[in-house]
Amino acid sequence: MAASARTLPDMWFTWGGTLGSFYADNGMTKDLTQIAADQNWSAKYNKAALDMVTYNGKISGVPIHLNVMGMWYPKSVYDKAGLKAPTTFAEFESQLQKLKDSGVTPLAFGSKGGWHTMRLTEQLLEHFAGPQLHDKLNALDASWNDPAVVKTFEKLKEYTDKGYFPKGYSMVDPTEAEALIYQEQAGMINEGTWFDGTITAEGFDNSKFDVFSFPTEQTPQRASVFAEMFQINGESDPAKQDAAVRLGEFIADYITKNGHGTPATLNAPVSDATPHVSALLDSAKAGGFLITDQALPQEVVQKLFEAQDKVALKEWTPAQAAEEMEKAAQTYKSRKK
Amino acid sequence: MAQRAWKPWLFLAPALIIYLIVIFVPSIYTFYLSFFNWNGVSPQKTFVGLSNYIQLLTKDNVFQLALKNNLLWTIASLVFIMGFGFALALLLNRKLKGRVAFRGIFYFPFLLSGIVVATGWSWMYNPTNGFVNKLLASIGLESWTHAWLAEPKTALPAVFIAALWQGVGQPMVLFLAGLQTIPADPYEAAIIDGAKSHQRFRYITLPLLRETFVIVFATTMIGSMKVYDIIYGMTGGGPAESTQVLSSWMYYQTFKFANIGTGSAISFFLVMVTMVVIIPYVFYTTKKSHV
Repeated sequence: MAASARTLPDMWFTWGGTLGSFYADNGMTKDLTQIAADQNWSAKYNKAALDMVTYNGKISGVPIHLNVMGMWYPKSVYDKAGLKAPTTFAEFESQLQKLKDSGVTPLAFGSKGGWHTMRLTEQLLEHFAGPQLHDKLNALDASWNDPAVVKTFEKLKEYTDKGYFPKGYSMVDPTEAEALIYQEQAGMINEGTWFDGTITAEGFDNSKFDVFSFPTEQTPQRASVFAEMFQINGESDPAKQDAAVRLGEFIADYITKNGHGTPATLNAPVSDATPHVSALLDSAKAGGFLITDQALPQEVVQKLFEAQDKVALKEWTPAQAAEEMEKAAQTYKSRKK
Repeated sequence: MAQRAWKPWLFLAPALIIYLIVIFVPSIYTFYLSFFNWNGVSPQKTFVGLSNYIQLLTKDNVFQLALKNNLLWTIASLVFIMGFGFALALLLNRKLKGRVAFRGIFYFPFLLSGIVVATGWSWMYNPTNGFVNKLLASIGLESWTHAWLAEPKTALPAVFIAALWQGVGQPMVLFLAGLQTIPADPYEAAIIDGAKSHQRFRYITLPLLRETFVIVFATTMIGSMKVYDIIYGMTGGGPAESTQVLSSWMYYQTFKFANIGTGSAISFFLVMVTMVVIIPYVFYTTKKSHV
């Protein structure tokens, strides 16, 4: 609303990808490329974080957080089932049944809103499509009506049919799915670098949990990542813009020094209160792909959520889901021509 | 005489000016935007004529489902929310012990915000730990337990039951107010003439509640066409878009996808569908009444 009325504040918080690009593409953000060069941001900020706030070669925000996703699991559940973190996709799949046999829900995902289950879908897609095709699909440069997409939906259907998700998961709230993990009643969940803090905030002990990278078996083995940033209003008074940039950098420093989430800065000290952050950051060293709901245009994201649900509810076959995704991509592209 | 002619306008002017600025002009602007392809912030708006409307009617399967859901929701509201509201009003208009407390109990949910109701009922429908399934299991009806909100066939009816629980208080209060304006004389005369209770209801109560019915019908109909918060809170339009209604799909198109033209076109569908039903109804009923 503020963007439409041209009454945006001097700076605002947003995510990277298609969420932040909306403001940059419509000329509402200050181009920070020169400031970044003058102040040597490349020596201060993680390259992945800078890449994710850059649109058409222009840095359009001060990065504050770089989040990396991973599969979190309660150690007690894995111990009880006699399991260790999987290193291959086949091992991951075999563990799902073993976890179910041990009496827990293997996959703690809640599809209300779509985005939570999407975190599993995108890992499956990375496994079946590989990094190159996955990136092309997200950029809408390749057809979604592809065997890799069909296989991804087939897996979602298979896991649903085998009862690996919580009962009625298509309308389970993600926080309810998280509760299953805290209570050590589920096998695994896909969460990010913030999850150590979330577990503690909910009153549980985060040392009882561990995390592994989803075994995509691709080279490079990439993690799902996304950045958070402050964008600066391109129409504000220059003095206010400078102050806003300084405030953004101050907050980024404050986050770094005080260990709030995962800083976007390089060599940030990791707090003892967040024991799993280092492992997650390391998992992204080989590379990352932008999380799907920020990589795809929002109306295509919505179609993906619909496709996940319809495949799970047997309203669409996996092949139909892939076709519908491609239709949505084409509709979006024709509208933007 | 001249003063008498313009004086009412003078008193109406402040409200009229605000109404024109806040409601009328934005409505016309929204209608204008429905003929454009625009993302809400770009300096360029592309004129596309009726394309947004045609696209919605011929290609957008979610819009078509939302329109159908809105019509079903409206019919259900007019039948059940009005019906239960009227039945409760008739019951609580009698000299019952504790009727004031009951009026308060039935009206109370209407005072809650839609999101509060949505949160509470979502927990009640939880497939594993929810009250509904636990209750069914405890009385031996385990086979009836269901993931109520997770299946397209049951999701919309399940949300509607929550809306019924919340909304029945409003028509009840309006009907109660109407019932209390009916004097005792016609009933006494009818009893002397030997009229039975159903005849008194048919020939005295219903005709004398005509104005109340107009008000309740109009408010229920408009409220049901605008339904949004309880659906957004309980299902977010899912699963698989099966509980989308026009308001929620308009929100998605306008604010999530930045398709301002399409969102504006949906809002005009909403206005038109409401007008097509409500204008003839209000004209017809007010012609027969003394208001």
